[in-house]
Amino acid sequence: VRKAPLAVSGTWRRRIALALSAFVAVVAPASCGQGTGGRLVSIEWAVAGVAEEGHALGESVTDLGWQVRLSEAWLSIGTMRTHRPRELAASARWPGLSVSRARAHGGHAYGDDGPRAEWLEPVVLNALAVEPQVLGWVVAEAGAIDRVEVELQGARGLGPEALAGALLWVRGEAEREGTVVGFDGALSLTGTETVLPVENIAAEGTLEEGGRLTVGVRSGRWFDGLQFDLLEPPGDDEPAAIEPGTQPRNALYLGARNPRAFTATWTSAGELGEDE
Amino acid sequence: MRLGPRGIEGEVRVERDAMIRTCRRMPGHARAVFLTVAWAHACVSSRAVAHEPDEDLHPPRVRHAAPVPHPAGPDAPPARVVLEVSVDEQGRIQQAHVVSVELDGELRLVLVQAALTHIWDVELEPARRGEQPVPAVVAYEMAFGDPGAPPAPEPSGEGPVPEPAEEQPPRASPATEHEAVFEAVAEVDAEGAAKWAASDWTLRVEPLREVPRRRAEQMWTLSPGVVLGNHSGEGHAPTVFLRGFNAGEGQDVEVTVDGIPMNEPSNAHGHGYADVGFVPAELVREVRIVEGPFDPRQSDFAVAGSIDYRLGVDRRGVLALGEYGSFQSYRAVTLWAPEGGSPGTFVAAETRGSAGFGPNRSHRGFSVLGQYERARGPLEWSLLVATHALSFDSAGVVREDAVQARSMDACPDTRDDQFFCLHDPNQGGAASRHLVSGRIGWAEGRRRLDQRVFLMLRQNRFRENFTGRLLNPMGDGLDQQYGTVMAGARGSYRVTFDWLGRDHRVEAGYVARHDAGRTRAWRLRDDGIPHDVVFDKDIRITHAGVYALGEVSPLERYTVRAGLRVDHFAFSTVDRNAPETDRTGDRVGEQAMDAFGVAVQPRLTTQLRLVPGLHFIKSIGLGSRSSDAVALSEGERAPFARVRAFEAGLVYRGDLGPVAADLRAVAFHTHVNRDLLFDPERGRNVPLGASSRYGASLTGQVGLGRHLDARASLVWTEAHALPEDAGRFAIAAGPRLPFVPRMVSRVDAVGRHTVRVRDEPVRLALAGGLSWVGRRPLPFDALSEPIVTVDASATVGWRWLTVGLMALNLFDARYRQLELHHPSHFGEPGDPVSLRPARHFAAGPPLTVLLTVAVHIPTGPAPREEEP
Repeated sequence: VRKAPLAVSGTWRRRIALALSAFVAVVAPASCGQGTGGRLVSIEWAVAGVAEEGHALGESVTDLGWQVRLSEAWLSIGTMRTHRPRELAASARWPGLSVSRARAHGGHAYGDDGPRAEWLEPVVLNALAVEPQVLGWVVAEAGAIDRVEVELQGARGLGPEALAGALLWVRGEAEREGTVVGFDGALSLTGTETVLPVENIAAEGTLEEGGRLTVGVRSGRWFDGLQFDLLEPPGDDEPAAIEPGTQPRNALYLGARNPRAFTATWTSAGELGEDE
Repeated sequence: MRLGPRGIEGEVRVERDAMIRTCRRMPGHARAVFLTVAWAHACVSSRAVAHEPDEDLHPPRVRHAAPVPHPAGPDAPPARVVLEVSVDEQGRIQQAHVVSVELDGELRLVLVQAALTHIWDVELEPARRGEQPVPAVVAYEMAFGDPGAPPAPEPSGEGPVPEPAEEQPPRASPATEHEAVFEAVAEVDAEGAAKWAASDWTLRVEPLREVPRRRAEQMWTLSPGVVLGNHSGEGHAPTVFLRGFNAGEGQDVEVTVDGIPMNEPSNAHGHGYADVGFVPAELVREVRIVEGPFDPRQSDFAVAGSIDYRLGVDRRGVLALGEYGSFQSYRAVTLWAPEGGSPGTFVAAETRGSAGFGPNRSHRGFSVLGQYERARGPLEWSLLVATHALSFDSAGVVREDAVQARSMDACPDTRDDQFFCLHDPNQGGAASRHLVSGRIGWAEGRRRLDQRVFLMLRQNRFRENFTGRLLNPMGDGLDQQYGTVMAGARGSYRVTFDWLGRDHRVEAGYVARHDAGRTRAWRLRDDGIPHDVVFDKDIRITHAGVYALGEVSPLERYTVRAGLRVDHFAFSTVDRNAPETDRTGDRVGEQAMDAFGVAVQPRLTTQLRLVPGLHFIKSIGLGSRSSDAVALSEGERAPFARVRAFEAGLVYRGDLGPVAADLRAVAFHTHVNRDLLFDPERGRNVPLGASSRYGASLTGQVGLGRHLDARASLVWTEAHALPEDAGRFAIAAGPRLPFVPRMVSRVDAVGRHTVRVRDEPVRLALAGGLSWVGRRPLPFDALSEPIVTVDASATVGWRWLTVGLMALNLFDARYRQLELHHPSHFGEPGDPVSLRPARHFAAGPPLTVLLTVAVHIPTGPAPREEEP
């Protein structure tokens, strides 16, 4: 075997030391203080009824010209989620490092359309309540958002009895050109559907610690396209029922999943402090 | 002859009747010199110049020789065995028999057997007269226990045979009086020497054999910085973390067994999946690990590096080993390595199983391997056959929040039970492998041709569930199936030539393989019944890689190694799961697809010898990983993940006082310009942009005779996702990649001692392996807990019997061997589903204690002794 004494000349010692020093000098500063990206914050989640511009809460005018006045408006929500901007996820060189998935295999599949924050508890909202309904705090990933998704599902044990098993329940009257129609109806899912997703609810803001995300409901938009004159009142001033298989029911179904029937508002912690 | 952990120290005697007077006047070196005896017939060609000085004659040089401990332990009485070995002009050992044994008593036969076993493992370069190889008969002298060897002078290192020192006369030769004696420095190619990179390791397993490593795959951890994890337990190949890469189960590391490729392209479980579980650990004689793509022989998947498991058995005879312990774990190995055969000749059978360290972790399997190797003469060949099957259950991964909430109903609600619990009991797998491979080698002078062919039938199936019911309320479980026939060949032709008085080499080689089979994945309901097809494809993949390399030393201290590699891939698939209707109308529910790709990869290494034993090695290379055929489109120019790797390091191999040492300090950087990852939802690979990985490592291996062998490493790695505007030298820009181990250390140590009990030598050995994985970066700037595990073993050996106690995870640490971060839903179907990613992990095994009993019986015909 070759035996070699471990003796390095002074020149080489200097060269080696210089090389190591240069390496450390270049790399070490760059290696400190960087993380994997992403940050978790706590935000408050709330839901609220939202009035149409120029109208009182519960009053609106549909696209068919019906003036609607609601006496009851209840909505059952399953889950709510807010997402980062699509262009951010699509253009990211390494999109969603922190949102890796393992669907086909237990590796880290870097796909990123996951939500920044979500509310998973069932919520029943009185869309005519003046004060927002603050649900609580959730852990969220800090950063910009551009949309909210809401899943409506049948109410179970929450809200008024008339809402039981339904997505929403409304009561009120609609008037157009002197014709007044009272109505009372609940929207339920049929067939295999268990939830009604409402996607692409516009949102704008940057989630940060202590802020509040409020999902608003513009109940007046539920009635767009609904032909109230097709409702058949039973008489005796009883309101007309919204029956399955009718145009009013289908219009209400489409109205309920209309993203314009919802709003999403981000209020920073500072703004919340000023309000209070 | 004296043996060290890295090679041979001793003397070679060369005796030729044509050289009596001249050679007897030649003084010699002492240690590090072999005394070689060339008998008369070895010099037939020189009889014409008999009685003439022949200073141009060079004895055979030992190219490689395994360390041989005293069979009775280091404290046994010293002894000397002299073998007569016929060496042909190709350097092949033709015959060997015992000339003398300087010891009486019971140990005599043991020594003879040890010597005869050892000699067939010695690799020699032929004796030469000038540049002409000549046959020789060599007296090969082995000194067990150093019987009065003279003090060792410093050897000359590389270069031509030096003149012996005047003041040291030649030692007495047992040769007949008409034979000449002269001495020459025996140059031994340093075992494990770095060739293509400072992180090019050729590691003998034997010095650290006692450190608990129950499976061949665990030999990976001999390489610095390697971290293994496993999300499916026994029967499933480990996930390899290396140099900042999550190399999957083979996606970014090339795995071969004696050159036979193990990576499985387009495996449904993971592209490049590579499992060497069919190889019993006792058959792994050596591993060659290259970290980074620097050797032109490294092929597809060698992005982060490569490992080649080299099979062989040094201890000849019959070995019967039984192991039993915690969790009803058992393993039985029967191994027969015929005496006198080369190390590559063996037959081995292994059966193993366990109830597992938690619910749903049992496994059972068997392997049978046999190989015959004929390594004498200019033509050498071998034939390997292997068959293997196993089945296993798996606990998969669990959600961290479920463990903390102790909400998994399948286990008691204690913290420990929940830690080892599971969400889905319908996980596990099965695999089988049937392999036949033949190798033929031919050497003539300084030219060498090697060819290997292989045929393998491979079948595996994995059932796993990472997401619960996230995608479908019926269940997201996956049933991944892969069945292929792989046929291929690899070969090389190497020429060594002399120029400027130094050896240089050129080599050309190839690897070609064709994989044909089917890969598919189903979604499973909670009851294990498939309810959806994820993909289902027939695959035909042809890969042909060719390379040419040269190794030139224009200066005595400076060596340049350069090579070019070109890989061709042809993909042909038939999608059996195409829709039967589309917007246009009805269509056939199958669809064929072809794609083709070429990758060109130059590689360059320079090596400068600063002082004897100390080298500065710089390497740069391009590597690539082929695409998953499942994700390709018609006519696509198959894209590759390409890496550009750079490494520089100092390597010292030599002695530090009485300690033989191998010390290395390495800095490295790897740039991935376009990584690709399969997105199962999109059904194709998606580009993920550029990334950068860099770091440094310190590694040392020391040996103190047979008393101590130790190896330690410390590796620092950073991995970053590069932003689009990152400059060429902004290697640390962008966020860190999560889960990549930043600091990794590994220490292996074995201490041996022999005591005498009633005049019987009793061998004692203590061994330990310590792994430390520092805090890993996790998503959202979090850090994981560090992982420290210690494995230990204690063995006692007497004659043919060895009894050992092995403890894995000695301090019963609770650790996560693999962590993942993804959305899942393991709740009831009607429960609200969170789409936010959550932490998941696979629990590492707790303390496992195993008792091992091994009986090793040398067999075979008694050697000829004391022949006149």
